Amino acid sequence: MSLDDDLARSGRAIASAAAAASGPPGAGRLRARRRRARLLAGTALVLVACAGAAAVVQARDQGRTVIEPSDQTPSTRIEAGHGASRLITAEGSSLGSLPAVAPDGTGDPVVGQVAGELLDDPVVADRLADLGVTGDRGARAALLADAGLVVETTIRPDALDAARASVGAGGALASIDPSTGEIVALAGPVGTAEGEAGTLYLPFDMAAALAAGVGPGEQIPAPGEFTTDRSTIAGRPWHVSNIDRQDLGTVTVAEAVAQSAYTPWVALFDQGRLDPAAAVDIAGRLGITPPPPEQVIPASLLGVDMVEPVALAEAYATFATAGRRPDVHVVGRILAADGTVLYDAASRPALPGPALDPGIAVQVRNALEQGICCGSGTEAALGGDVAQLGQSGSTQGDRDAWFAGSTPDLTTVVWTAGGGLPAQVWRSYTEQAADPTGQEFPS
Amino acid sequence: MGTRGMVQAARPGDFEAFFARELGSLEAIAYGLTGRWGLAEELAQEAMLAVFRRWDTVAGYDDPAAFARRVVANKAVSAFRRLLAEARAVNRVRHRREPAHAVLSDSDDALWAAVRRLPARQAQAVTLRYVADLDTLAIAAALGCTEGNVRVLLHRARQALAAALHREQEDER
Repeated sequence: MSLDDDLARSGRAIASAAAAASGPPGAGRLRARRRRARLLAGTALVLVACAGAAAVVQARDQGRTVIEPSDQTPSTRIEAGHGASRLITAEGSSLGSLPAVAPDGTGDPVVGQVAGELLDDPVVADRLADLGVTGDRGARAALLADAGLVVETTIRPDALDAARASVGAGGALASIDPSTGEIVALAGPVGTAEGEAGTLYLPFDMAAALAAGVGPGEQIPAPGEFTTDRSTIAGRPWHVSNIDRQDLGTVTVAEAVAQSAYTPWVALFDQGRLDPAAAVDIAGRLGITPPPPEQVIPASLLGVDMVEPVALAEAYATFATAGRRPDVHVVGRILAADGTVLYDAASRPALPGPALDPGIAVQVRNALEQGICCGSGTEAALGGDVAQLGQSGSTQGDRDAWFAGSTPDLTTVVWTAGGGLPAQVWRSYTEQAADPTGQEFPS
Repeated sequence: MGTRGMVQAARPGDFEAFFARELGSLEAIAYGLTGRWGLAEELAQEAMLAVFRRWDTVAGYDDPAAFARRVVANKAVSAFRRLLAEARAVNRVRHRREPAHAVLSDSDDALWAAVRRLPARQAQAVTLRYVADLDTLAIAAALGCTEGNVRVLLHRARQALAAALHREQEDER
C-alpha cells in the first residue's frame, strides 16, 4: 500500500474517531462531502477546452480562471502564433499580458518580475528551453508573448491591492511568503528601486560577528563617534558616527542591531574580530548579490552597497524561518492554451540545507523583534498578538529609507526615497495582508 | 463553564450550528498535529472561541470553516500555545471524551508521529488533506496561501515522509 493510501486511510480513522467523540456517528465523512459541495456551489463550471487529459476550467462567477490539469508530461512545444500570453493571479484574476520585449525594470512590477523569471531563472528557462524557447532574451520574450500561454503567478490579489493602496506614488514594496518564497505582492518600481541598504545591513554584521565568536552577551563599545586607522579613506583614518552622534555606551550585538548603531561594528572591525568579507559572504548566502571581491571595503559593514527590495525580502525571510532561505519565485505554473501544464513550481528542487546556522538566525531574529518593540522599528508595531520582526533602514544623508520586516507568514520590504515613511507603509500593508490568527515564528 | 456553554449563552443561532457542525473536524485536525486527544479538544475549543469573537466578520466569509481551520492549525503547531493548552487539558482530563478504542495502529501512529515532525506548514497541509479531507483549494483557504503553495507543501511533505519512513514515494499527482 502506498504512502498516500496509508495517510488517507489513517487520516479517515482520525476523522471518524473525532466525529464519534463530538457528533453523530459517521458525520465526519458526510460533513466533508457537504463542505466540498459548498465549495462548488454557486460556481458555474464551464469546460473551455479539453485536449487529451487536460482541461482549463473557468469559474465565471467572479471572472476567475481555475486551472484543473491532469497531465503534467506534455509533448507539446511552445510556438508563436497562438495569441497573447496572459498573466493571472494565484486566484485566477487577470494581471495583463506578457510583454513581447525583455523587461528593463520599468513598467508594471509584477509583469516585469514574471517576464524576468521566465527569461532568467535557471529552472524556468531550462524547462522552457526543453519546449523550444531558445535564443537571446529578446527572441525568447517575443516567442513567449505570442504563444497563447497562461502564466499562473503566486500573486495574491488581496495582498496586491493592499500593497498598491499602502505604497501610493512614492515608494516600492516587495512581499513574499517566507516559508515558500512565493512573491505575493509587488508595488512601485521594484525593478529599479535600488538603494544603499544602510542600517538594514546590520543583521548580516550581527550574524557574521556571532559566527566569528563574538558572544551574544558581550558588551561592545558604542560611542557617538569612532575612528579607526585600520582603514583609511583618502589617506585619513575611517571615521564613523552613530545617527545623531548618539553615545550608547556599551551594547550587545543584538542591541546594536535593534538601536541601528553603527559604531559597535566599526569597533569590532578595529579589534580585528569582524571581517567585512565575512558579512558580505553571509548576506550573499541569504540572497544579497555581493559586490566583486575587490570592491568589498570596510564600509560594506555599514550597508554602502546597493541592494534591491526583492533580494532584501529574501534575506530577511531567512531570519523569519530560522535560517532556511526561501526559493523566491513568482511563476507558479505555466499552461499551454489547451490547459496542459508546461511548468509547475512545485517541481522546483529544494534549496540545500539551511543558509544560516539556525541558532545564529534565531538570535538575529530575536534582535529584530526587539527592534519592533523598543528599538528603531516601533512605528511598524502591529496591534494584537501577531509575532513580528523588523528593522528600519536609513542611509547617511537620508537618500534612501527602508523598512524590512516580517510576520510568520509575510516578509515585506518597503523602500522610499527622499523623506518617505516606510515603517508606516509597512504597517498599513501588513495589517491588511498578513494572517491575523497569531502564528509564531518557527524554531 | 466550557466554551460551548459560553457561546450558547452569548449568541445562539448560526454560530451554534457552525460549532456543532465543525467541532469534530477541528478536533481531528488538532489531533493529527498533536497526537493527543485532550489537547486536541482544548485547541479546537480555543479555535471556536476565536471564531466566535469574530463571528460578525467570519460569518460573512465564503467558507467560515476555513478561518477556523487556520486558527486551529496554527495553534496546534505553536509550541508555546500548545504547552498552555496542554496544561489546561490536564485539568480537564476527567471530563474529556476519549475514543472507545485506540484510534490508530502502531504503524499508523508512527506515520503520524513522522507527520508531526515535518516543518509546521507541511504538517498542517498533510493534516488538512488527509484528516479533514480537503482539496487544495480549501487547504489554501485554510492556510492563507495559494494552491500552488499547497501543492509544494504536500509534495515536499510526501518526499520527507517517504525518506523518514524509508518508503517508496508515490505522489498522489
